[in-house]
Amino acid sequence: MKNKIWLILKYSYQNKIRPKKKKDGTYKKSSPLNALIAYLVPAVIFGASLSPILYMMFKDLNIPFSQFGIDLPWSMLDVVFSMWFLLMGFMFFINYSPAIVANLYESDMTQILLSMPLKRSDIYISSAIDSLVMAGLPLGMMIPVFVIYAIIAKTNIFFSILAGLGYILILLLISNLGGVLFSKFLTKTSAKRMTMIMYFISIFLYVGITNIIPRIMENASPAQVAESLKKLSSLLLNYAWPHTWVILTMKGNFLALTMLLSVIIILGYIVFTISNSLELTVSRKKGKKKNYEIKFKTSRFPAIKKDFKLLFRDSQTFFLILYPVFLPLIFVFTSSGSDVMSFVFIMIASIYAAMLSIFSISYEGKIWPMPKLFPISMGNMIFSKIMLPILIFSIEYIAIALLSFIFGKATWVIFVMIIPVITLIVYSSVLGVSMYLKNPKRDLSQKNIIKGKEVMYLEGVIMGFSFGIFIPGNLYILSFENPQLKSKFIDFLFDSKLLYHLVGGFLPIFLLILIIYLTGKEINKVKERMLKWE
Amino acid sequence: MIKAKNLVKKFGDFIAVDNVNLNIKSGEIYGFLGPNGAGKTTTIRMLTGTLKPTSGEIEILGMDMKKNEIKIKANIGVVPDEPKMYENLKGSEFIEFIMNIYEVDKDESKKRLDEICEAFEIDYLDSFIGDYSHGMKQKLMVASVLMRKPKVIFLDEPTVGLDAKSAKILKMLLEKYSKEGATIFLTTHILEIAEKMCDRIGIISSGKLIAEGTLEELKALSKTSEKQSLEDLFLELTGAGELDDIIKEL
Repeated sequence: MKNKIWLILKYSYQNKIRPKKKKDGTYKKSSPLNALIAYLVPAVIFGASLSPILYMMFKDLNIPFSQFGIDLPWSMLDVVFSMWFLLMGFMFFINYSPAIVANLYESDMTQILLSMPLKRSDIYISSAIDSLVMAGLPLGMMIPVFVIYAIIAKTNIFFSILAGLGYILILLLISNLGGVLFSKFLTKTSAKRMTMIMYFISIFLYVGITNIIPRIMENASPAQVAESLKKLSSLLLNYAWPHTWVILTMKGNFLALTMLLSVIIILGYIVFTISNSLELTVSRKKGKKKNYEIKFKTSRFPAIKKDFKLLFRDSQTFFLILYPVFLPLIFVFTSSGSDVMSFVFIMIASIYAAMLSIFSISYEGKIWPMPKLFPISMGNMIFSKIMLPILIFSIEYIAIALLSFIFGKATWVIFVMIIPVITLIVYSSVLGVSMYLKNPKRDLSQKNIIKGKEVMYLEGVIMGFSFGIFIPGNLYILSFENPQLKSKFIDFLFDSKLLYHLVGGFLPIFLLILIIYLTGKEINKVKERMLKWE
Repeated sequence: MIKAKNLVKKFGDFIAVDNVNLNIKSGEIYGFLGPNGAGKTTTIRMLTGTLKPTSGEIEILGMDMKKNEIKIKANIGVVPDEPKMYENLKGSEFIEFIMNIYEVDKDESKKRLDEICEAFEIDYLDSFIGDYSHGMKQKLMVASVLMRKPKVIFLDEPTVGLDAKSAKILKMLLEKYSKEGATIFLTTHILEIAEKMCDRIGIISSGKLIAEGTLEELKALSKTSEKQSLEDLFLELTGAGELDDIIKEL
């Protein structure tokens, strides 16, 4: 059984790797482990970045409630970490359950595997393990949280490892049960979308919590924090929660350990039994509306309307659209430096504009040569791919600029930056399309449409322009009203006023003119390349 | 209606279509047959404007493909060999997109669409295309073309993925449309379809149009005097006559 599960997993991961073509035309064989590592790297980075933050935040919180005269067997640390365990457990569940549905119940491979001499439980288990990569982020975060809690609470290592493994196992089993349940009402498309949306919600939750919580905790005394958290303790550390058993097990409580193990065994038995009798197919659901009820609307720009729908419905592109707004908003509402917002926005949005135009054009690549049959010119089709990211990110920037001017402490400089922001986004969007069209016959079966080298080029060029325009430009404009800033800026530039004007004033303008010139060049390349796309 | 003169398509050194000439009249059903890799799809792709010929001329509905590509595309319908559609659109949204991009009369098309949907049992327009099976997609693709009632229809293996009832309905509809003046150009591996439906048949092999004519005219080309089926004739003409030996070897 083990070998068969491993065999299924091996080829599943192999399928996730894009083979590299060598100069002699043959393909370089890559290890399936590379795919696994590529999926887990973001989780490890998030996890690693979380550890010091958590340690610094909570190192002094191992104070029993009894010290504050509260008659509860917990410490402040337990309450805080129970929140983390609950949050991550929830994140794990919302990520992993739909991932199982998307990966297992409607995968084309599942139907092929079902025709092979394999047990249903083998197929199920291998697919459930395979789906784990989608829940890598909360899993990656969970490990450092356990370690930090164990260090601060000074718990027994043996019990801590046992409890940690137990919690992961219990979450796996609950999520699997959830997956079985979801498969009853989720279709392939909705499961896929739900998986990705949950993944991104996890990122938003993580970024939000790690940015906002430290600021809330900054000015609160341990007694104040304890008082507010005490009210939550009865809810968060209720004995019905599996994480409560985990915390107790880490403290060496045998009853909690027995409870943990018993539930694991029972859930394991249920999941294994169900998995052997699963049909492993989702019944196709018919639409709610009858055909004659469907009204068809007239649109003057059907291609743009269609592209707009596709961008907002693809969970990956939906993330690319939302993220540049999300992070600057945290800056607006939590930090005083609202002018930094334009830089944070453009650093993200300029790269994402290219990615968005690439994704948008890849939708046509996926159904090629169908789009060539439509009675519209290639120019019109491509125009929509370039225009939409420009439109989306320009509106986002203007909205954030207004918000940070009204609610934050941004100055008028943020509005001056509208022109360079849009200029860079236009270039980025055109560059993305041009890059895609350089080789339109791409492998679109994987998520990474563009190659690593292309990503590096894109990021290098666009980030270079962002740094060159927005840092000196912002400082130069702000220095007009701030003599202190001006003298610091001049000091930094070897005390040269000439350099101050050259770097702060001339360089951004020169780079903007260069971008306009390069945009024209890329547009010509796009025109040339789109005609060759057959 | 469909004219091709000295049509050639080269991919590097490989000649996929070699000097093909076609002249298909209004109201005609033309079957385009050939073994795998013979150049059928490449020819259709050139005739429908998705692939540029290396040389040669194409005229559809009396218009030159080089000069009137968009106008031609607006007046023809194509059912490709693979029903590829935007997976994140609902069936109804795809239909709406097609109606708008082809600028068709909405009421007339909707009426025809309802009839086609009823005939093909398409009751899933409110679901996402990504959730469709191959057959469901194929039926939607056929419906999106037929609702426009184009003057020229190209179909590349149209019955693949369709159930027997849907395939029969499609065949009947194509015959009806051809009687009303539409030109049908179809490729198929099911020789029975070509035998029963097509007014004329063209056989392509290794990029060359090796035979063309009515069924009777093609039968006259046979070297053997026996009464042959289209299948026997096709195998004889495309050089796949030594099947008995191959089967024995297996």
